[in-house]
Amino acid sequence: MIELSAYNIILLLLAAVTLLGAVRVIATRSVIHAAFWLFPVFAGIAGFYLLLGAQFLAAIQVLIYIGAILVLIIFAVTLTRNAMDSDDAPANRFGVPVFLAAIMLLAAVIGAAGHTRWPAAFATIDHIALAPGLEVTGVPALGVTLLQHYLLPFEIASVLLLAGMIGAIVLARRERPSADDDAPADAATAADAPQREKVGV
Amino acid sequence: MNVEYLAIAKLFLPEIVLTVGALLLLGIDLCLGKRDTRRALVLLGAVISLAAACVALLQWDWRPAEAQYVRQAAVTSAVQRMAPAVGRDALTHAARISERDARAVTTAYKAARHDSLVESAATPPADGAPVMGIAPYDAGLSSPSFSAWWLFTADNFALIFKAIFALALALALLLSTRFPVARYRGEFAALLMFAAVGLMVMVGSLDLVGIFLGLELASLCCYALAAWHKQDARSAEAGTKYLLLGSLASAIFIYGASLFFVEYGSTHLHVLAHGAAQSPLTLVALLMVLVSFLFKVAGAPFHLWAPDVYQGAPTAMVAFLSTAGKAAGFAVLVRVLSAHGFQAFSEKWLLLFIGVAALSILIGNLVAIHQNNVKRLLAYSGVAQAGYVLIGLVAMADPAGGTLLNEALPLTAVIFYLAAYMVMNIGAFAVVGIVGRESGGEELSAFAGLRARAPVLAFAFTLLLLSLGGIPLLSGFVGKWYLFLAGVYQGQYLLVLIGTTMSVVSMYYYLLVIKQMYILPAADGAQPIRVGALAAAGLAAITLVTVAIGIYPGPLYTLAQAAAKSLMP
Amino acid sequence: MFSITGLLTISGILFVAGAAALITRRNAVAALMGVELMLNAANLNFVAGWRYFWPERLDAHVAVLLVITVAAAEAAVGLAIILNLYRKFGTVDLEQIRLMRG
Repeated sequence: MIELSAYNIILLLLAAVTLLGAVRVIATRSVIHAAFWLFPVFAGIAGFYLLLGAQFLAAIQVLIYIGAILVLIIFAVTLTRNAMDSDDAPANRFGVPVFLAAIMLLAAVIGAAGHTRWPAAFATIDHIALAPGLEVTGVPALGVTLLQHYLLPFEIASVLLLAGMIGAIVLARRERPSADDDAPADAATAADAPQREKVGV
Repeated sequence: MNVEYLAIAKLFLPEIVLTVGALLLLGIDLCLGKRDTRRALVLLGAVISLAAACVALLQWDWRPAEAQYVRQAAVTSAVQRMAPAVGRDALTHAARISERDARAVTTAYKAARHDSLVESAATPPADGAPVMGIAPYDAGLSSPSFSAWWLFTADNFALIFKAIFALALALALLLSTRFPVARYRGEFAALLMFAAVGLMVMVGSLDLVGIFLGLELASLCCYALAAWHKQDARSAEAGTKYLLLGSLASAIFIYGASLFFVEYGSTHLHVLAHGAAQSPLTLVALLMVLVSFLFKVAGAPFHLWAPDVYQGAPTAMVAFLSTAGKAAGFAVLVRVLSAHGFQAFSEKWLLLFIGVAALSILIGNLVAIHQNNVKRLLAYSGVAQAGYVLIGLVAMADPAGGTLLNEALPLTAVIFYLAAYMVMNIGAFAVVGIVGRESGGEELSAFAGLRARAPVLAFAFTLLLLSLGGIPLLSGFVGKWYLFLAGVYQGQYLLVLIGTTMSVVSMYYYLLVIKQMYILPAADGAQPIRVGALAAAGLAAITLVTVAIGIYPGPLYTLAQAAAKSLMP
Repeated sequence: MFSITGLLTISGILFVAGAAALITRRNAVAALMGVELMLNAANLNFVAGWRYFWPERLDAHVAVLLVITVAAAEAAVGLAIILNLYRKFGTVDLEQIRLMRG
C-alpha cells in the first residue's frame, strides 16, 4: 500500500484535485463552469511538476496554461455564448459508447503499465530531494540543451508560432467591405455583414 | 560562415528555401498588397516551390545503395557504441558513457557528416550489448550540427517526399490563382508554404517529437486554411471539424510518443529501433502512433473527417491536403514501421493494417457511388486510394512475421503510387475548382454538358478520372499494378482480390461524372467556362505527366526504387 | 511509495477524459478543452518518465516545452476558427452545425 508520508499525501491530494477537475470538465453542463474546472487540472499538473523536481516546467505551466491558454478559453466561452443554446444535454449521442471505449483504453494503458517490468533503481520516489545527477537539470543546462542540441526543433517551433499567429489573425479579423477585395463574391455578400445570421439546423 | 551551420543548411535546403520564400511573400504582400500584385505573388510562390523541388532533387544521393548504407551503418554503430554495457534494470546515475565510446561516436559522426567513412566507425557492435537510449549529448556532443545530424535526415526517402510536397505546393498555388480565395491571398500562399515546410520536417525527422512538431506545423496551417472562406458557412464548419478531429489525432500521437519516452528514455527512432522489446506498453504506444497517422491518411474507419473537410474547404487547400498530406502520413508510417524493434509486433500491426486497408477500399468505393457532390466523391475515392496504398504497406511485412523491407518492391510501389496520385488528384481537384467557380457549385449537375462548355477541360478531367479508376496507359493503372503485384508477391491474395474488384466498382462512379460531362446536355443558360492561362498551363502539364507516366513509368520507378532502397537496412 | 504506475494511471485518466470531452461535448470550445487535457497528460508522462528513469536527460524538458508551445498555438488558432464558426452560425453547438452530409 501507499505509505503515508507527507510527500505522498500531497501527491494524492494533487491527484484527487486534478482528476476531480478533469471529470468536471467533461460532465459539467455549463461550458463556463467547465472552463473554470480546467484551473484545478492545470494547477494540479503544475504541482506534480514541482513535486517531481521540474520547477522550471511548473513555472512555465502556470504562466502559459493558466495565464494564457485558460484565459483565452474563458474569453472564447464568453464570446460564443448563445441564449438559444440549450443546456439540457452537454454530450452528444456518442456519450455511452465513448464512455465504454474510454474505460477500455484506460484499462489497456494501466494494464500495460502494470505488466511492464520497471527498473528497480528509481521505481519509487518519496521525497523532493533531487536524485544524484539531477543537478544537471537546472535552467542553465536546459537553456544550453534547447539552443544547442535542440536548436532546430526550437527554430521549427518559432515558424509554427508565426504560422499560427498569421492564421489566427486572418481568421479572427472582422471583415469590412473594402477596396482591397479582388473577388466578385466578396462584394456580393458584403463580407459577413449579417453577423448573427443562423444558417444551420 | 561557420562550417557547422553550412552542414545544417545542407540538410534543410528545401525547407529553408520555402520558409524564406514564404517570409518574402508575406513581406511583399504587406508592403504592396494591392489588387493587381496578388496574382503575381501567388505565381512567385509557385516559382519558389518549384525551386524547392529542384533543390530537393539536386540533393539526391546518386551513389549506389551500398554506399548509402555506410552512412546508416555509421548511425547504427554510433547508437550501439553509445550504449554502455549496463542494462536498464541496473540503471544508476553511474551509467555514464566511457571515453572510448565517446571517441567512437565522434568518429562516426564526423565520418557520416563528410560522407567519407573511416572503416572503424562502421564495424558492427560487439556481441549485442544491451542498448539504451543515450542521446549523443551525453557523450559531450551537443553542437547544433551534430543534433541536426542526430535528429534529422535527408536520405533519398525523405528527399523524394520533399520533392513531391514542393511540386504539389507549386501546382496547388498555380491552380489557386483564380480560385476565389477571396482576400488575404498572400497569407493564403504563405500558410500553404508553411504547411509544406511542416510536412518536409515530418518526413525528414528521426525523432517522434520532431515528427510531432512538423505534423503540428502542417496541421495548424491546414486548420486555418480549411476555414479560410469567411463568407462561406460550410468552410467554417469544415475548419472546425478538421480542427477537432485533427487535434485528437495529434494528441493521441504525442501521448503514444510520451509512453515510448517513459519506457526507453528517448523518442528517437534509432533508439526505439534497437531498444524496443516485447512489452505491452510498447504495443499500446505503437498502436497509438500508428492510429494517429491512419487518421491523417484518412483510412477507414478513421476517415470521418475527410468528406466534410474536402467539401467545405477551399479547393486549392484540399488539393494540397489530399495529396501531400496523405503522402506525408504514409511516409511517417513507413519510417516508424521500418524501425526494427517494431517487427516483434508485426502480426499485430499487420492485422490492424489489413483491416484498415480492406475497410478503406470497401467503404471508400461503395459510399462514393452515392455521392452527389464531386468534391465529396473525390474524398471517398481518396479513402479508397489510401486503402490501395495500405496494401503496399501490408506487403512490406513478411506474413511469416519475419523481417521487414527485405524486398524493395512494396515500398517502391507505395512511393510510386503516392507520386502518381499526387499529380492526378491535384489535376482532378483543379478541374473541380474551376468548374465550381464558374458554375457556383460542385454538384454532379454542375458538370452537365461540360463537353460543350469547355471541351479541353472535359477531356482533361476524363483522362484524370480514368487514371484514378485505373485504366491502362495512364499513371493510376501502373501504380495500382505495382501495388497489387507487391500484394500478390507477399501472399495477400484476399486484399488484392478486394482491391481489384473494387477498382472495377470505382469505374462506375467515375463514369457517372464522365456521363454528366459528355452525354447530358448543359443546363439552360450555362456559359462557356474561362480557364486562366496559368491554370491551363498547370492542367496541361498534369495531364501530360499522367499520360507519360502511364506509358513510360521507368524513370519514376527508378527514382522510387532508389528512395525505397535508401531506407533498407 | 508512489510508483510510476500511479502517475501513468493519473495521466491515463486525464488522457481518456480529454478524448471523451473532445468526442462527446456538443460545445466546440468545450471540445477544445479536451485537447488541452490530452496534451497535459502527455506532458505529465514525459516529466514522470524523466523523474523516475532518466534523470540525467533533458529531452523530456525540451519535449514538454515544445508541446506547451504547440498547445498555445493550437489554442489560438482553434479559438479563432471557433469564433469564425460562431459568426457564421450564431452557435457553437456542434449538433446544430450540419450543412454537409451524405
